[in-house]
Amino acid sequence: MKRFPVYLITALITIGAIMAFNIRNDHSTAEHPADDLSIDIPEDVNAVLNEYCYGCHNSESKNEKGRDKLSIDNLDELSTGKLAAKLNKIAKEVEAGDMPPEKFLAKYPDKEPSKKDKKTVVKWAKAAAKEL
Amino acid sequence: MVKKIIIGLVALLILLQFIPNELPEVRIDNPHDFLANNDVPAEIESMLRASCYDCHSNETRYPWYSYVAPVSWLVRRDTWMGREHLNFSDWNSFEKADMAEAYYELAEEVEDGQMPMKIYPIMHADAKLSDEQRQAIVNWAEAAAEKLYE
Repeated sequence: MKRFPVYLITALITIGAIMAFNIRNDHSTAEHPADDLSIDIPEDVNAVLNEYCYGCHNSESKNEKGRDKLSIDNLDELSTGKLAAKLNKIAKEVEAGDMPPEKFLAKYPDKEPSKKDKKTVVKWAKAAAKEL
Repeated sequence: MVKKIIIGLVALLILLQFIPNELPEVRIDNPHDFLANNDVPAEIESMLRASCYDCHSNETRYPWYSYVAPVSWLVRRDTWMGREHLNFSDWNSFEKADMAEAYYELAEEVEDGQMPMKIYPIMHADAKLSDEQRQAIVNWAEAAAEKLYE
């Protein structure tokens, strides 16, 4: 009877640690996503992508959905049609306020890009898609 | 007791029919329609018509039960949302990048089994897609997206 809470506490701590580890890894931000890309991402756009998007949208991300939908570091490996599709989607989702997701922002309110930052990304993505 | 419940349910069903529920309008003449303006293989065309066009175009074929509440509410919502998301009747008014996105998104959703919605083939047997048919749609859609940029 006395031992039970010890097991329980150990289990809770372990689960807590795993969750904390996963959350940290889900949104870990790598340094320079766009540096090696052949498509041209201007510095101001790159800075916004780095700060607000890359944490989930990179090829090493533990966030499976984020990784599958868009890996910013792999953009230049995409065929032209697919790249156009992704850029178009980026513009639409950011413009509509669907990205970053509401649930994520509830947890990390400081990861909400400013209106100006959103505009920077939307303008770039639209123009880049049109140029293809 | 059972009799009373049945009478009550029937009465409720009758009352439900008086709640206004306007289904999205059907339009057959669509100058920007996808199938009317693009060269699409016949097998793909018939799959798109059978599995997608009821919700994703203005050419919805409403079955009789789509006029009976509460089914009519679901039909209204699905058709409205389907057209909002992708309306093949407007295709030729899309920008090129919108077309590419639509092609890739439809490929992804058909491949993952998200589309057609699970409930749809229950009442529309011809809308059910086999794995081979799904793959055929995916291959065709991805190739069509790339062709836009050749």
